[in-house]
Amino acid sequence: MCQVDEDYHDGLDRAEVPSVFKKCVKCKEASAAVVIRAGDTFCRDCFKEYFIHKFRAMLGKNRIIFPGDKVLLAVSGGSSSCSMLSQVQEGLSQNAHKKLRFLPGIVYIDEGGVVGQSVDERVRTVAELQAVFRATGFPFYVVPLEQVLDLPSSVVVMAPSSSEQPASAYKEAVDQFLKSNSGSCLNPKDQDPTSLPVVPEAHTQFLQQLIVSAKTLTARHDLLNTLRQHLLVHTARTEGYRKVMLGDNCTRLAIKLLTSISLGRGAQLAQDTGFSDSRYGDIILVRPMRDYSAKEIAYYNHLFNVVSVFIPSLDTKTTEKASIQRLTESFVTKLQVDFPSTVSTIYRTSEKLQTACGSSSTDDSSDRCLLCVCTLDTSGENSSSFQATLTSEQLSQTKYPARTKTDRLHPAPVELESSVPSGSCCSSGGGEDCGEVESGEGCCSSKEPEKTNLKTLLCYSCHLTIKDMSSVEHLPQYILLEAQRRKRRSKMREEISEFLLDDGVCFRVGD
Amino acid sequence: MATDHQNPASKQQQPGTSAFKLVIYEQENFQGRCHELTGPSNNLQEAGVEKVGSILVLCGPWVGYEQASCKGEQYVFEKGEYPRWDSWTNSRRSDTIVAFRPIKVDSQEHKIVLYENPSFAGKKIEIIDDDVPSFHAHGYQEKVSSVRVQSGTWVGYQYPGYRGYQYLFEKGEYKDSSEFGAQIPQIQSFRAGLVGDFVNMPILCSSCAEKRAMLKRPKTGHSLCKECFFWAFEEEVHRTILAANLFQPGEIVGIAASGGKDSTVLAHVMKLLNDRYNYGLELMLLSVDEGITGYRDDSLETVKRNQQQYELPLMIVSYEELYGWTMDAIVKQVGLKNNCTFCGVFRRQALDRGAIMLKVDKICTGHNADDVAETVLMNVMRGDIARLRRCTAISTVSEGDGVVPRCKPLKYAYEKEIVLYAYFKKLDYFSTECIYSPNAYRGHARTFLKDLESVRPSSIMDIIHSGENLSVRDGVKMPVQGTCGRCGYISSQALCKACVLLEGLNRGLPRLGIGKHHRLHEKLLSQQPLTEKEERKLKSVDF
Ligand SMILES: [Zn+2]
Ligand SMILES: [Zn+2]
Ligand SMILES: [Zn+2]
Ligand SMILES: [Zn+2]
Repeated sequence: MCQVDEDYHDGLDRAEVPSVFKKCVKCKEASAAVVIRAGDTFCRDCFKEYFIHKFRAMLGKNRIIFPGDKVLLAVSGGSSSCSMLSQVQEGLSQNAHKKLRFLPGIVYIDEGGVVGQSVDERVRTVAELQAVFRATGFPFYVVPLEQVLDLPSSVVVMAPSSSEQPASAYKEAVDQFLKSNSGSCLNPKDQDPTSLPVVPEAHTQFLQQLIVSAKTLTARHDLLNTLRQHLLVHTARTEGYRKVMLGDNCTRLAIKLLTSISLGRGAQLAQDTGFSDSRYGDIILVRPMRDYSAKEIAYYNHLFNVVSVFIPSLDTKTTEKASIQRLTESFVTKLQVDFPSTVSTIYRTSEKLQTACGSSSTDDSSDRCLLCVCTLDTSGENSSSFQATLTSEQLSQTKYPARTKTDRLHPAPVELESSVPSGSCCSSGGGEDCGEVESGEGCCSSKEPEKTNLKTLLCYSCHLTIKDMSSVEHLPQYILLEAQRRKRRSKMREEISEFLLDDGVCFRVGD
Repeated sequence: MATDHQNPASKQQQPGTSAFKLVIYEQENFQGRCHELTGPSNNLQEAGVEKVGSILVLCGPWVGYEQASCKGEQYVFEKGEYPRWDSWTNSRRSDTIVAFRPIKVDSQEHKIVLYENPSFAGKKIEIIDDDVPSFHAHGYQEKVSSVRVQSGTWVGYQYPGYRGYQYLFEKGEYKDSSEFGAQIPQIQSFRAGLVGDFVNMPILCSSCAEKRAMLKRPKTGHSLCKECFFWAFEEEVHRTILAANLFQPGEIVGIAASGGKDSTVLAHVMKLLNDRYNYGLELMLLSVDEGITGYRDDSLETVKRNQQQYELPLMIVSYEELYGWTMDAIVKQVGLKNNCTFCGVFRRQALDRGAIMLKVDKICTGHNADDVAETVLMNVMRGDIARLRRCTAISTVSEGDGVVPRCKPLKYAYEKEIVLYAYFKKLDYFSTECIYSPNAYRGHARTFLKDLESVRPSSIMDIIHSGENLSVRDGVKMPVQGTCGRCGYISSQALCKACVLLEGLNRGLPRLGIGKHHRLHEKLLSQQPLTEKEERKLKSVDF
């Protein structure tokens, strides 16, 4: 039987061959320099105008960046984030009503330590980027990823957003800003470029151990993304920024969306791929480049000499099936060749998803994931993929129960969680990956319970990542300490549960 | 020197012969007739195997040969699934396998010496216990004309990165390249140490810890014995049914039976669970005859055998009696490209109409976890947010008359486990691949899903989890479900899909149902003639 039980039309539009000798669609005079999609041909000047307008329009439409806001631009050195930087520069140099009115700063996270760059290479890359940054006149911060080891636990706790800014406040702020400010709003803190933090070798080694303790490249990627984000948010907080701009373009976001789906992050999809992400409360992440395709950016950077720097990544040298992230990237890229609307179609899905991450009324972080700080998605109903997986693991590693005929269709609802087996030694992990037993690690390893303990604090997908780690002992202290704190609190809550009236009541204990 | 490898069929004394097991399916994707091998076969054709379409290695390793009597190109198989010929060869020169033999693996140490010239002369390179993805990286640029295997079992490859022709090396000496079956003395990468699955170290079932494990669960990676696997598989379906509260005692439940593996396993498990746990359901098989010559005839035979085996009543509804068109006739008019649209739409309604005729309360279908995950991916790739939200639901509730509620008891069962279950239970099923080619775009999603599964086996469940937890923004418009103005079936448009397709067929305008022509619906409903321009547009079909 054909598996198609719902009809789908002809697939997406097939690739069309772009015609070369065309006039610009905008001014209809100059001959085209750029073909973005079949039909959209631009001359150089019109392309620039279109490109710059798109950036301002994206910010204008979403009204999240307020005039006078301090905004930290996360620049990785790649073409997309470098293009973002040049857009901000453009925007600040425009005349009055087109002018961008926020105060930018730049942050670069130096991940050289985990992608196998030598100290010399790292110094060289940083120097190259510093030159670019200095030319902008914006304050900038070069932060080695190793600093993630010294973060405070507050990073993984959602901070209450300082003040809610209703949409009506936006116009007010604009007017206010125009009155009080005539233009030269930037007074960059002159950073001494020579005073870069020195990274102790031991820190680099510790970080490498952490990354390597993830056994799959998929988990390594995920872990690295999480750590990078923590460090970005922390840097923004300590330097007094309220918004962080990320350089994700449309192509990247389409890949990210499909990757997130494949990693079980459906519940977090809106935050992971939307225009703004407020999971951290006081710091809002925004993605102003989301309307640009990778191709447009490449054209722009090429035509207008925007410099970017090649930065190796975790999987620069691997095959396409090495990780889910890599596999998805090559899948989308290849499909895009045959079906040019692939990226934009997937990307449009992200716009239809719920963005509000339910900024919960309580300041209790127990319902947030310890790693990605999203709302936990593991409390699902009985009938869910999550429960079904628990059932499968449980049924595969215990002596099956006596075959009774007692549970009929009706009476008792299934109690899956409560019947976690005890007994044979390899099941003491309570549903943990039993495959490890075969791989030779002592099956009663003392690390196992620790890993299981983290489980209740993690969202579905972050748990998959932790499951792929040989041990959690390499996780940075701020994560482990926060885990312990949450454990203590939930234990406390259990003890006093009978006195609690209702979840919404703020019953502050301990802190 | 006469070595073991030269006379395979006669001199195999494996320690634990019975452990070797390989299943050949005559068609791709583990479909069609299957044959089991537990020892060498010099000529499969003589043994009654028409064609090797896909291979399931339960216990290996094995080597297959392109020609009879273990000659020609070699293909090495380790435990796992090989759904298509291109999964076992990447020289892609030939898709035939005519002979098989298990490979004896008895050493934990691996040592091999390769020589540039025949008779162990010239420059040499020695490899111990390690895979070599490329000789060039080791500074060895020469050809390989003779080989001395001191211990272990090795596989040599024509090109770097384990590509091209494969050559199996067992303990012994190979004086020149013809002795290891190569036309030219070129080997550029090497894999050390094929590992026997159970020969050297039997693994105990992780559930009962008593019996020897027979299979590794694709879903969890646990090694289980046959009985424990059956129990786990059935119990999981049972818990899915309970947790989602799919049935009520006393209900009449129609099992959509196509004769394929999913519905065969579904029928078997439903019957078994209904008895084991006293569900109190009245089960029956419900089949659709699309009228595809050569395909349905055989599969309906399978369904009929299932009916006798499970002692369940069977009802067959045909497209011809429902719509006046067989699929063969439809394909004649619309061509191969779009026929799956027709088939899918018509089947949905056919099941419903059959169910209503039989007064069935619920229909259950054989959709498995792979199908659901694949549909999630499809809908993301197509930006179809409405379907994305619906497609992970385990059951659809009845809205008004004319629609029978449906559910998917196998929603969380992996396709691979369904194949394993059917295999070990010796269930009789027929190829489910429709002879008319499937939707190309869905094909991309399917391939992607299989790749994801190979990187992280839990991906299938992870994607379903994602689908179950998506939340759609409030402002996004969802199509309103109404009913068809002609037949009363649920539809978001004035006319349901089936009626539009039928109208197109009857008027000789096949494109009518394929593109989006909603604005024509009112015209069709009121039987107004179409303009010439509209007609022209709807007539053209690219074959
Ligand atoms: Zn122009
Ligand atoms: Zn998380
Ligand atoms: Zn067992
Ligand atoms: Zn209708």
